[in-house]
Amino acid sequence: MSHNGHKVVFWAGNQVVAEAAIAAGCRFFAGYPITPSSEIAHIMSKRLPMVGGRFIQMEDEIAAMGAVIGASLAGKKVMTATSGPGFSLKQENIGFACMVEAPCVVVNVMRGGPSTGLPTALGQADIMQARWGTHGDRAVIALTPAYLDEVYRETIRAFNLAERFRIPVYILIDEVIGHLSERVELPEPSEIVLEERPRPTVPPEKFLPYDSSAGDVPPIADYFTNYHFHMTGLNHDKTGFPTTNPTICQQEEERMIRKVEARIAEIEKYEQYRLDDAEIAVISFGSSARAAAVAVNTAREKGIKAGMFRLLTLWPFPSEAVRKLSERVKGIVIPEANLGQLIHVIAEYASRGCRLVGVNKVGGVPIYPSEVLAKIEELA
Amino acid sequence: MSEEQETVAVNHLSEESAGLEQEILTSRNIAQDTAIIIYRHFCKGCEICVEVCPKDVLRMAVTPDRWEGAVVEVVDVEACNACMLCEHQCPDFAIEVYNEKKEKKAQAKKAAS
Amino acid sequence: MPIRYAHYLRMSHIPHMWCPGCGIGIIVKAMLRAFDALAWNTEDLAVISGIGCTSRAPGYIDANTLHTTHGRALTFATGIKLARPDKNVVVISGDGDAAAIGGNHLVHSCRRNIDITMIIVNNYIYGMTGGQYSPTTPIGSKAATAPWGNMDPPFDLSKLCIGAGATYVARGHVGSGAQLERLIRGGLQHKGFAVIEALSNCHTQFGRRNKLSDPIELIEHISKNTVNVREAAKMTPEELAGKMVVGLLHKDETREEYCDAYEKVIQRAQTAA
Repeated sequence: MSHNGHKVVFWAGNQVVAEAAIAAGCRFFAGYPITPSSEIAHIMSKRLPMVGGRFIQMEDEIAAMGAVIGASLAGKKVMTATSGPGFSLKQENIGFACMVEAPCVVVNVMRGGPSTGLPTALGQADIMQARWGTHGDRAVIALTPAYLDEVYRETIRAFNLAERFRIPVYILIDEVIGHLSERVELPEPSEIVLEERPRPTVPPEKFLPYDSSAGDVPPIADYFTNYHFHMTGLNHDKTGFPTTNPTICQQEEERMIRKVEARIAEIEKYEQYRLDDAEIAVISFGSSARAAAVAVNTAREKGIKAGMFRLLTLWPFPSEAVRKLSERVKGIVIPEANLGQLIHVIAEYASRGCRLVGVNKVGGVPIYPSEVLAKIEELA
Repeated sequence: MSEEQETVAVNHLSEESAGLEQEILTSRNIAQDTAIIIYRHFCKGCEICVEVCPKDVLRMAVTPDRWEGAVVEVVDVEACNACMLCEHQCPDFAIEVYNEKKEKKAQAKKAAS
Repeated sequence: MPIRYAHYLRMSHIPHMWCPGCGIGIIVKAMLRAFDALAWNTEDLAVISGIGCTSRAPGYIDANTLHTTHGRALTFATGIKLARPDKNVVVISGDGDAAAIGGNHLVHSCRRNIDITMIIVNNYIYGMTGGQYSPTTPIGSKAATAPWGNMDPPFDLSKLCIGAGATYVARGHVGSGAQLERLIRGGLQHKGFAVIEALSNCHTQFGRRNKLSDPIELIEHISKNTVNVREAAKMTPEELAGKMVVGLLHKDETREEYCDAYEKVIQRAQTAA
């Protein structure tokens, strides 16, 4: 089927992620079975060899993360996909990817509960883990698309951001988005812009893997291209070798954070829905935001000036925009499938006069529009 | 030191080794076509080479100016039969043994592989 | 400039950080001689490690080198090899890194028979972190976490790898750098997962707590307790008790290599498409 010359498909969210990754140039996937993300692995296992790429199911989640980082350093665009428990296991190696600055995409199809939780039900409780899961300081890019046409575009953007910033980029969806099917109009290949990591412009004898003289994202050579360099998870200087020099350690860690946080404008994305004259705002993301949109419309029908600020990037958090919003609305409703995580981030930036109210469900059943509406009406 | 021993700036020294001429000592056994090169600056004084040498070619020379206390030196190059044990058992790149026949054999083997 | 080794070394980082007399240097040199004997160029070589004293080795080697997380070297190496099956991928790590935290990855790499060569430096201890017992520490030895004598039984690492499906398994020791070089060379040449277990001396942490604080004495102790595989075949289990069998222990050239098998998957997938 086609529309406006675009191929139209009816796919589930996990399939959208997989196909978008291939369109983005992903040619290596390492994963481990975990509900509700496994379909991404199933599809990558089928599609990757068809396009000359490689798929491997590793022995555990930690191994999957190691393998994608290795393949990334060997020059491939790489992805892995998991859910809560696997996300916890991957944290050390994610930190390693941050430290060596290896581009990669990590999909977390969030599910319910701590621990084994609710494998087949949605959750949105990995918000803080996405920000602080690995030990040490790091900058985070986490994308949170909710509708499947966005999931397609944002998956491609995830790969581009990973290449541009030499960093692991998260795609945080949830079980509902992963498993629901929707009409998606696919962009033509010619409409897709792909980015590549910055590669060296100097000869091998002059190359330093963390040379930030031309900018905070150092150029990186692929393995086996005659640029011999060392990479380590230890604190290191621009040569890539370990250092314990306090000044260098400070400078390099600050650079790795600054390379993202000084360019938030390039990264942050949010949707402002009916917010222009809103008195009550809803801030949400993912499947909760889909329900919230319905609640906003119902509220409007009832004469309440409601609107939604929908996060498409969770991290870096659009703190400026949220702060400004909080200054002109009476209150903010925050529906999230957890017991209160996003609300604390918002509280950090919201003005004192703005009331914050959460809608928190962790039983595995999505938040209903009526539940969001009830809180909007309370604040109105 | 016997006449056979010399302190030389080995002609393959690169810029990196400049200034280290005094640290690299070559001893030659002309009859056996064997050279023993000691990189004194890499020796950590572990004494393994002296222990493993079956011919008493080596000994530890006291070096009061270094924390190791003693580093290896060649004392009887004529006794060396190029068994290579000192080089193979040195953990530190501090000693190399070059025997013309053995090197030729190794090169031939490498070319064939 | 050590002529024979300089080609594979980052000379500005030598002398290396290992203790005087540490066997890791002996093993690394044997590996470099093996590279040289095969005329391997540094551009096509990747050397990967985990965490520990042994895992510091890649930093000294002039190749594509990666110092990863504890126990996980094989996972990174698997990604590199599968992405570039035409390249030479070598992993070097210690007994704690490879057999404790990394045990799962070791077993699965053996199972896959992926063309990676792994050198496991077995010095019977966690050296870098101060001498805690490892999965290869002998029973009765003292260690930082076994002050009353170790009761935690050790692996036979080579048997473990053979059992898990590795197609080239050899054991050498620091008493013979020449033998190590031969065994490593055989592993590098072998197409499939090759493991060379290299018995080594950590006199600083293991030896010091067990009356073997002199590196030469500890190396002699290790050497004396090895038996060549040919001799071992003629010995009774009683005679072999407490001995480590050294030499080429297992070689199988019948199993398909992992990347080759995946190439067939790609062909099937592309034909069907």
